Amino acid sequence: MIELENVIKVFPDGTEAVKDLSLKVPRGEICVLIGPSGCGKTTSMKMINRLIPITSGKIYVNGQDIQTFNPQDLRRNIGYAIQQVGLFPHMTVRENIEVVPKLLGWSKQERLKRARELLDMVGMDPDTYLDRHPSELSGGQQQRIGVARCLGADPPNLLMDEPFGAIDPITREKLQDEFLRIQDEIQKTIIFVTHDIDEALKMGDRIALMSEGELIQYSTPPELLANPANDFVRDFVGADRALKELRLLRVEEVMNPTPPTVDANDSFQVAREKFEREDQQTGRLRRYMLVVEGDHFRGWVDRHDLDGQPEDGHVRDVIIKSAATAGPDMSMNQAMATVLSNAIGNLAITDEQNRLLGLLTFNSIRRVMAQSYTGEEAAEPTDDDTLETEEL
Amino acid sequence: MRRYIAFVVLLGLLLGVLVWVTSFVTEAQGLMNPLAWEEIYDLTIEHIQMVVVAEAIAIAIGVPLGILIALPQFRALSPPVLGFAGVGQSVPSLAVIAIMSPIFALLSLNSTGYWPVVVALIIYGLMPIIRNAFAGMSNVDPALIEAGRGMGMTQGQIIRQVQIPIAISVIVAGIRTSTTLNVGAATLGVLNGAGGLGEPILSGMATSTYLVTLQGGAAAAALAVIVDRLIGGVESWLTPKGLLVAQS
Repeated sequence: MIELENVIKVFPDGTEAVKDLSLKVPRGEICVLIGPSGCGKTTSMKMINRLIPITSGKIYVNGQDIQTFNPQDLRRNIGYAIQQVGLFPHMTVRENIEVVPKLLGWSKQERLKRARELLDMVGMDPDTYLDRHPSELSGGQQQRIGVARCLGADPPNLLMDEPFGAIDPITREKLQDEFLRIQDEIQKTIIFVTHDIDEALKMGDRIALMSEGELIQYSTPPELLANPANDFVRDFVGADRALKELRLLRVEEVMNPTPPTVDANDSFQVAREKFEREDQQTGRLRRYMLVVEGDHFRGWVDRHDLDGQPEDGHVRDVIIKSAATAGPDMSMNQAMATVLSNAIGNLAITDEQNRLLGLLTFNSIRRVMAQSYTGEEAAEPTDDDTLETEEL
Repeated sequence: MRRYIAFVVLLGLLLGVLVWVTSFVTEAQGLMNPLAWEEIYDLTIEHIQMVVVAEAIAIAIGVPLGILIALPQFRALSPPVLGFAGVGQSVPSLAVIAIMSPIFALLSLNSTGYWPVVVALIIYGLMPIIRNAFAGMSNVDPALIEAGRGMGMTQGQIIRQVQIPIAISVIVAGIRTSTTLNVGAATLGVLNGAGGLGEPILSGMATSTYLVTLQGGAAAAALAVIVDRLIGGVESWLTPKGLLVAQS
């Protein structure tokens, strides 16, 4: 747990870098400090391990006032990772990871065991990499070792200053995902500094948005997106905050789990009746319906295709096969992209065995977004019909 | 490395031929014979001794001083220290040696012979050592020092475990420059009666026995080349492997 209480930092030249900051990070959570450059986020972080002395206020780490420790002892018990990674080039990967354990006086065997464990954790083969030097590693691998090194002595708290900053976007995404997976296991209390709002929304359990030394808003990512405290937050989060919110949602939170369906073996007559029953219930004209066979998703049927067909035919004769499906764990921004690129405009949600789990439509997305923005049900029609007006 | 050995061998051969030709000419003219090689050997040892003592003291002063003025809390001292060392370097070596004699006399010390020359060589050799130690230490990536501090290293641990290993090749390069310069400068020691390879150079010129001058000059030149290569070897031996990989 990390707690800041009325912390003020005034630099010798009179700059007020941090103005009365109070912040509480519960055990096991990632708190992202974010804001434009010069907002005091890095200064705030560095005061926690006393790299920068505080002017006034109190900081508690695990309930203890940091001023009661000697700075070196304090720092050895708080993991520290920086954007430039700062791996020591003259040391091997192993020696780099062992820096803090060595400072703490661990035995050689304990240190080696820990180094191997950490390399495994960050997805690098210990036998291959222990004795390499940093200059023999790619940028992404160096960042991994940076993360492993800050976990060296298994400290309960970590300070991370843009730890995935200096790498290409694809590798960054990957490292972020892996780090979240590791964090699920290790449950550290983390102060994570970034200037990238997408990274903040992805990594943070809570986000502390700062500006000119002041804490503007401290809330969970969905809350920050849905209820920006003021225009500054709104601008900082960006005009596309609705799209950003989609990243935080998973398909199963948005889909309709009980969509109307027809069976592939239904006759045209039965299918037409199902369409009409739906129309009556919703008061709207439905154009497409999901086709299943038993539990399994088979495709779509367009009601116009049912017209003028011989009476002895079945739905399967006019089925529109669709390869586009999504799993319930997919993030909504990916699912949305799939919906957009799909001619039918709807997306069947299936499990790995292709069993139908639900239906995702534009309207269901709109409904969820409208709800989080206004806190109310959307006034617009909320059924799962997409398209009485749209064309293929 | 093989290239360097070839270079030294070639240099030796060239000098040998020169000595042989000159001795042929001088003998024909019935002038003074060259010095015996044993004598050259003794003078070389004397020369080496002078340089080694001066360098040892210059390193003992220069390396810690260069490291010290690179530290944040003593950074303010770096301009005056580097400036002072720069003066010692830019004054001609002959003048540094010449000025030592009256200073020693003022201090009521023996103003001729060995020690005034050694002190002059120390001053002359200090500059490259201090400058390189300072540059090597201050050029260490600040992110590494920050990382070390953030992980809980003390300043002493950062200096010993991070900065010096990274700066070591630059520090040794300074010692190399300094030593090579002083092998040359020490030949002037003879002007204050300190002996060394300056002796045959000077006496040869005084008596027009150019062969003797050539002998002294060749020995001093060969010594400088050998010292340079030797310390170059030490330099690459001391450079951490991780940094060698980075350079290649």
